Amino acid sequence: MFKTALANLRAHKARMLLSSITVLLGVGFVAGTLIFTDSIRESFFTGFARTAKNVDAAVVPAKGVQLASDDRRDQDSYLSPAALDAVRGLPGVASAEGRVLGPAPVLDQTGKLVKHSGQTGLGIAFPADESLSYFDFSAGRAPTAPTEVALDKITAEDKHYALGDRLTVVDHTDQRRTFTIVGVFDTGTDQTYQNQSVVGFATATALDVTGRGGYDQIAVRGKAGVGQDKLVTELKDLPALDGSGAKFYTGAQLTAELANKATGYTDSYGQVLLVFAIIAALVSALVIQNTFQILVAQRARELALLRCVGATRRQVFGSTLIEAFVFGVLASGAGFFAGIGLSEGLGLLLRSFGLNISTDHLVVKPQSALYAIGLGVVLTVGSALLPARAATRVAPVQALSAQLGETRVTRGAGRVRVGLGLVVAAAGLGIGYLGMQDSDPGSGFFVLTGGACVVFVGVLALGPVITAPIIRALGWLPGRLFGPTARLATANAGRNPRRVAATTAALTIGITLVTMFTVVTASIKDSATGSIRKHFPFDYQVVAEPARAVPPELVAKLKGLPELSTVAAIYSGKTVLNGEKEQTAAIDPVGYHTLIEPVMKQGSISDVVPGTIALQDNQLSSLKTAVGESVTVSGKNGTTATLKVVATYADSGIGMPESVMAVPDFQKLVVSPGPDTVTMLAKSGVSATASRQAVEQAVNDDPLLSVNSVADYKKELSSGLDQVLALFTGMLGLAILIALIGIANTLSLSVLERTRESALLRALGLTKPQLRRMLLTEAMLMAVLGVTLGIALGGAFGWALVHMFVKATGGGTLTIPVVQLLLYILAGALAGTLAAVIPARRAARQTVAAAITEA
Amino acid sequence: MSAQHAAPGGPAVLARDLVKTYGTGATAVRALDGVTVGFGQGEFTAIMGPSGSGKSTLMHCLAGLDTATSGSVRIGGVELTRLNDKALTLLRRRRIGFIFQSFNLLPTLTAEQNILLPLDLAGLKPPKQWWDQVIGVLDLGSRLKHRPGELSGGQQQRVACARALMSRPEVVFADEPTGNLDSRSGAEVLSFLRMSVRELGQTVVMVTHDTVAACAADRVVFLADGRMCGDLPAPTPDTVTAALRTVRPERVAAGE
Repeated sequence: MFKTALANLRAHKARMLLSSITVLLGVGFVAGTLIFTDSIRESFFTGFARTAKNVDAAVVPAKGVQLASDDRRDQDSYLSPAALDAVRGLPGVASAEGRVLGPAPVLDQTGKLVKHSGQTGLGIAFPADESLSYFDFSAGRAPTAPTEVALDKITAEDKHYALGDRLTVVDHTDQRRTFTIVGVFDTGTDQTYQNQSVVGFATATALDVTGRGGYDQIAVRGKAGVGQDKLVTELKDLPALDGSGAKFYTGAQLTAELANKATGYTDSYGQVLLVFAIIAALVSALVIQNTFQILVAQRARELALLRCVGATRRQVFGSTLIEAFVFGVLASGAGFFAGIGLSEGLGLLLRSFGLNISTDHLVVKPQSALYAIGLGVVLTVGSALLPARAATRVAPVQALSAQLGETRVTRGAGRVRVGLGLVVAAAGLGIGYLGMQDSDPGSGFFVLTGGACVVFVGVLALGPVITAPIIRALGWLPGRLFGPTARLATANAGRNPRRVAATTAALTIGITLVTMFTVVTASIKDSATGSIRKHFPFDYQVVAEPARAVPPELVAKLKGLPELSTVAAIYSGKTVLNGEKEQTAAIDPVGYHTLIEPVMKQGSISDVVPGTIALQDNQLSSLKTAVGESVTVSGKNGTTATLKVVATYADSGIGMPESVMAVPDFQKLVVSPGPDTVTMLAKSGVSATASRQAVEQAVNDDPLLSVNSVADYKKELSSGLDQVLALFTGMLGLAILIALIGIANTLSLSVLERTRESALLRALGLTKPQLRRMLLTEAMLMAVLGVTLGIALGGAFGWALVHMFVKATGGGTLTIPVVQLLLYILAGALAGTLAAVIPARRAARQTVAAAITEA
Repeated sequence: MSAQHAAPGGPAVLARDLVKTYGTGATAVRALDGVTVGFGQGEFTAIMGPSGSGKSTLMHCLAGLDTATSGSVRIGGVELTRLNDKALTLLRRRRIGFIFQSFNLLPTLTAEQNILLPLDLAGLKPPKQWWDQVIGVLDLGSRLKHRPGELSGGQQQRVACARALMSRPEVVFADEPTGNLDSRSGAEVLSFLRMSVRELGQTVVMVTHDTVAACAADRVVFLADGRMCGDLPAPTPDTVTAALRTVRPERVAAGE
């Protein structure tokens, strides 16, 4: 039987080719993801591991060894310069350097702040001991004097800075300080900096500019002959580091720790990618299953002949599976190699969406090949199980009957299937409803998603039943417009509901997900901008850079502008309430009801006067308090105060911190450089141009401040969300492509089995272009069916998610982007038509006389 | 509706020096080797000949389903060999009716839709009276909404006959129309073809190797090895059997 299986594969080479592309793509995506993840992991690690180069021992403060600069913003303990001096005095230490990483925004040649993705740059310290330096210089040398600076290569190239140029850096007190560039260094693929500008100073200058109270790390090089463990023991015994909570690492431990962190950091990317890859693989499994099903149906006569000459059911079953296995191994193997190329494509795709993920080189591990090919083979053989069982049901007498499966118009599905499908779909709806009722949106989301999956399975089971009527409905308009060819196409598309349902299901999966993302992002966009308009109705905002404040003179100046009606300064920061860390904010009372109008649960926002506090209602339980009771605030410099809770408001998702206090209390209790935002309303009657100009003039191009309008805010929000949507759509693109190949594949196979039928049509007067048009329309109908079903399911799922979001936040609206969804249908129709071009051409080339006499 | 019928009694279909070669060089096969034959207007002609004699090829070339290597085919004054694929298709749609041995009907269409298909493709509708007449004669009134799968072989063939006649074609080509039918259904189809010739003046050309079927025709032409080799008017079972013996005695004896 093995030989028969191989002979079958060889004989159906052309038929299997298209199917193999779907497996190839599915496996390729999985392999590409694995390879890509390994590659970024290694490249991340190389970047991070630089800091461990030549280090024999390291000391880090309690919260040290953070990898990304973002994480370090929260770091609040440092190693003091005195501790560094003490380390340097140890007998085993050859040299020790303090490492610094802090904010150090730089200005470009026109005096504007250099930003990347809205973030200003970082400053680091270059050590005096060059062997402990971790960046290579592409030009110049490390800075040593307090007036010298080194700049990273990308910023230098972007902003046209060269050695010897003057560079302005804004220090932590907002003073501009000018340095001479003495070196340009390469940060390579180091993820710490995420494309922000990086300036390097001599160590003391770095502390001075960034305002850091100490070092992030002390890196130690031991004297020759002193072991790493010995060095760490010496460090641990150092009285200067006692009680600081500092952690000690040998050089080897530091390397291991960095590798560990790099893995954790990259795996999150890998997991998201893998989800999309598995979706693509599942879609290709569906396509393959359908292909095998069709092939078995077409070969019914052959199989019957095999049974006639004595093949047992078992042998027929085995032969079909062996075929699938060999096919799976070949296609998956090719898919793995395609995956190597695809991994590069993934990097390009992610980078084109502004994610800074770069790789030094490809890392192809043997286990990636094992997993990807293994998955491909399991999926293919699994997909062949049902068709193989169907193959065993072919009765030997079928070899003798004249009329075979080829031209059959199959009936829909049996009652059992309909019943099961309905039960499963109803169960899914029930689960989804339960999820929506869940008070915790987190677990509710999972239950809802589970319900959605179950509904999906139910709809797949019902597919053959609902396909025919939908196809008829969809075909009505083309039938009206294009006459008999479109009517023939509609009849053809509806003739084999099972096959069409299976073919379009693959497309439905992808479109369901895309639609869901589309509905959710559109709703978030509208809800957010709607909520801004209703609850934070500002015209302009002056926003300071992180950790900086809007200068008091400017606040006063803005309040004095005749073009503005209301101006309020907002303070935000962190505090400790009843022992819990909480965000808090304060706003000038003039802003109550005019510039902020939260969704109040109890009391009013204007009840917040000195001595009182308003809380997000979901904080009441965690703080164990209630309206009318008091909370204890642990303020700055060890002070404490008691504030009375006077009001609560809903967590509307944006804009409102966990607590709001009065400005005088805030200034007394919270560490803050001053107001971070000034929000304002224009006077009515003043033109938008005039008011904006007045605000901008007042701000006077201060590089550390930015002026935003509501429109700017909306645009920023939209572009961010659009990018996420585009990225997800891109990721699902491959699954959709596989589904389209599935349509092409089904149509090719159908065309093959309908050779005589096409010839008859041609004899009766269907022209070649009409035949082509008929097949294109048939494919178009299948694609539109898949897309429409996907939009319906995805829209419903999206609606449920948004509903849950609205319930949890007390605000927001459902937005169905109708035009966008209609465009999806149009795109689906077009893509389906394109998928059919080749099969349609092949069908039209067939000569009539030869085909019509074919037995 | 096809407008220009040829003059009564004149040839509706005329083939001259028709040659059809398959393959090239040493392996070339001459399926038709200079066939000249005419089929009169309002005449029912059967083409007979052993398997491989070229009778199907002849019919395909006459009907514009296949292109001849050389020679000429005229249907109602139109030279087929000069037409491109599109023009041939339109000619088949408007001027020719087809009845095949099997697989005559599109499984996705109802009987009615199948009957109307060629007219539908041309964007035409049959006159009501003609429709009623054809459906009535063929007794298909109760079967129109059925799909081919729900019809018996005889009923399917009657639907094919209705389709072939509905556009009032210049000529109906029938390729073994009774080959797959039991004798009763076969006789029905034959009598309908005869009647369409007698009463409606239809021209019918039928390929068959069934002597009984051939005897329903006004005339039988014989083909062997791609050449015309006999022309028998008013055939009877005896004359047809005798003629077949002279065409290829050893094959007939072998049970052809």
